[in-house]
Amino acid sequence: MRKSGFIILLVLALLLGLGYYFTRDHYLERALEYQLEQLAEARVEIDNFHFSILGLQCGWDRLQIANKRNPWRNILETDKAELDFETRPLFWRKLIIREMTLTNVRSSSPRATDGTLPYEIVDEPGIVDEVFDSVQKQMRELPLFDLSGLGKTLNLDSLVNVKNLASVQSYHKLRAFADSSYTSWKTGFEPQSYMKRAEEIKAEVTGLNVDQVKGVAALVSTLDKLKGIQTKVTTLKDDVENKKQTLENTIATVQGQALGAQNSLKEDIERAQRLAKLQDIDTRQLSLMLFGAPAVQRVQQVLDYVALGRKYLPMAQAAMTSSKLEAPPRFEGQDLHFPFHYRYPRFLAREVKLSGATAGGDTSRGYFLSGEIKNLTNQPTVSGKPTQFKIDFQRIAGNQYTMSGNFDHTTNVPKDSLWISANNFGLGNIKLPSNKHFPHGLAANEGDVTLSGFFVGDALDLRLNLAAAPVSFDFSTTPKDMISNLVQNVLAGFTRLELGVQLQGAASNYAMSIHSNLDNVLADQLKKVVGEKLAEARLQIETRVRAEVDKRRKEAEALIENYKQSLTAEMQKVRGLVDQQVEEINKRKAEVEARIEAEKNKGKQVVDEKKKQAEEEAKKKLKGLLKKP
Amino acid sequence: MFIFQILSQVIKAFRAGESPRQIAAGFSVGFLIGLMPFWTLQGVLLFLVLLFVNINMAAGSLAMLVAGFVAFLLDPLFHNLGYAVLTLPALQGAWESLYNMPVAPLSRFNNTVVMGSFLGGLVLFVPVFIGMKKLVVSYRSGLEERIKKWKIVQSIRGSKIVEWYVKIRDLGGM
Repeated sequence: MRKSGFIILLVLALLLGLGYYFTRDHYLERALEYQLEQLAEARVEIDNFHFSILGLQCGWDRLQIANKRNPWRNILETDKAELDFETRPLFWRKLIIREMTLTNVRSSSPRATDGTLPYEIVDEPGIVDEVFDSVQKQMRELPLFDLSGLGKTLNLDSLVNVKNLASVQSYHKLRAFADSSYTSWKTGFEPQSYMKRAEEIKAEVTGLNVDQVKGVAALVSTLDKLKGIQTKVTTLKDDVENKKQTLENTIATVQGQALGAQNSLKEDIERAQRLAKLQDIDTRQLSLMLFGAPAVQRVQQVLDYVALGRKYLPMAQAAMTSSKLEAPPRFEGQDLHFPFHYRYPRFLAREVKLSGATAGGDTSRGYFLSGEIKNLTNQPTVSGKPTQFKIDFQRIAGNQYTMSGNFDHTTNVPKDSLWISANNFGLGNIKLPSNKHFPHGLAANEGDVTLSGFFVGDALDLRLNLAAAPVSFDFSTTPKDMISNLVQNVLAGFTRLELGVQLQGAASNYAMSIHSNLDNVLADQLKKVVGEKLAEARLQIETRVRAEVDKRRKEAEALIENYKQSLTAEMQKVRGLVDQQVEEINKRKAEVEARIEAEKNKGKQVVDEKKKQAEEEAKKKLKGLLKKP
Repeated sequence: MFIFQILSQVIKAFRAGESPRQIAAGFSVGFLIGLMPFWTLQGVLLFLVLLFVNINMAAGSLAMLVAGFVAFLLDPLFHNLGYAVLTLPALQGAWESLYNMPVAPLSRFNNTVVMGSFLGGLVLFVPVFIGMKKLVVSYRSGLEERIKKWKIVQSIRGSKIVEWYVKIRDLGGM
């Protein structure tokens, strides 16, 4: 045994120990801050981090996590924190926290420095982004609720711009189509060619001089020629009939387009009514218009928690395989993994205890916070248990918030659920979307809120119910028109607001609906007062649009009829001439056939007479011979 | 300077003092340590052996440097060897048991390069020991004189760097 070995070891251990002592906490503090910054996407500051490997404990005196949306405020701040580790998992380099205690947890505390990160973290869009894209699109597509058109005399000339009417444009197109079809027919039909062919046939028939043909042989020859001419005239008739059918098809197409041009009429009327700001009053639209934007903000805050869970509690992944890497980094090799018998994820906090209070010093105004998080892990599939949390905020005055959730990412399809309930809370002043008829804000002293959200894969069903009383609506200006006056009067009568928000959907197709106790009352009152005027104004616009379109329709129909008459008349003329030739040929043919028949009969009669005469002569001669001598 | 110091001490040990067995053992252990990634359980334990057991530390230190260079050349070979051993079906049960033992994972035995280089080191341990022992014996029985006559040795001994090293060493009383 070498004594100097101890000295060398001692010196080495001392050097390593000193190095570790002076750098350990700072190094670990910075590493932890960096990890938390990736999670929060904003600055994280830890004060006086301390770590004890012998006591298997660590903690800090203060933690600040900036709010990425409001970097001069902290989204979370805590005072002293203590963490107890489990020893055994450290052998496998797994960090399992048995218990974590965070004291004086608070949020929205002011910061001394800007909490924006100097670098940007690019997130891949997830379910929450898709939900917001869908809802924002829905909000953008909401019609502008502006009934100011009712109070004014309608300037129909400016509202109904004839050139912009789709129906009128359709009739213009129809006329152009009819013109081009007519021109095409005029150039392609060429009735003269058919008439010429008919005249030639007529001349051929005349040239046969049927009346002067005598003798059976000549008549048969003429009949053959007539049959040849008949074939020609049949071909001509078929050509003319085909052309007639094509003409009828073209006319049917043009008439079909004329009917199609009518389809845009309803759209034109609605567009003109929209321009005049004359829409139907829809209760669903009223709620979405009034409360949509603030509801989206509240729902966004809730969904951010789900997004956080989805981001940092990964879903189950395929089992780790040990296929060989062809060229692992030099000196690093490849770690092969064998079946592990313990459920030790890389990081697991079995239990996190939270406590805190807001408005320090004034306990009557501050909220007391208590809560716990269980099974907080970055490998839920290994731990096999969902992450659960429950946080209560309570005030001495009686206000109480409870937030609980269950993030189950132990399988390939994440199943998250979230519940929030708040009793007797002060809603404060809520800014409402800008609209000339509606209030600009809402103030509510006390209210109850319940929220439940279920998220399975990319499907969600989120419901938020709010009941607040007393409420008051803020109209910052005195009403300038009848509608604003009516809305103000109706809303002034409301002291209680009951609101229901529902957000549902799956696979990038999400929709938000809102209903409230104001909907029907407000819509009924509006309909009662503005209904007649609205109908009258709408009819005025409809009549004007119809008149303008009718004018174009009649012009187009007259043009089409004119073309139709012209082409049909020409066609009839050609057909008449051809039919005349067909008839003439048939007549001539029948005549020749009759004469042939007559000639045949005549010949037969002569033969019969000759035959009879011969028989008579023969009989006479035979009679003389048979007499006895 | 550190490398000259080590070389100087190795040469001293070769000439006299420690037994050939001590020098060879020191070199073999150092060679085994140098071949593997250091921060493993067995690496630290072997280093403690080198520190506490009465074997030649200078030879061990030199061997660590030499083996580090050898390990760089043989790294792909060690990876292949480690992978083959760790995926051998007959040994899967043993590896699984070891993987689930609390301290064993600190040896990083499941890493292909650690396993391959450790096995390579074990295989080379005995030949290196025997070879080194024979080299020391030969050196002491006349090889030294022949080496001193080598031109390359003479040129190194006469070089400025070696002269400076000797001056500095003598100033420090080494």
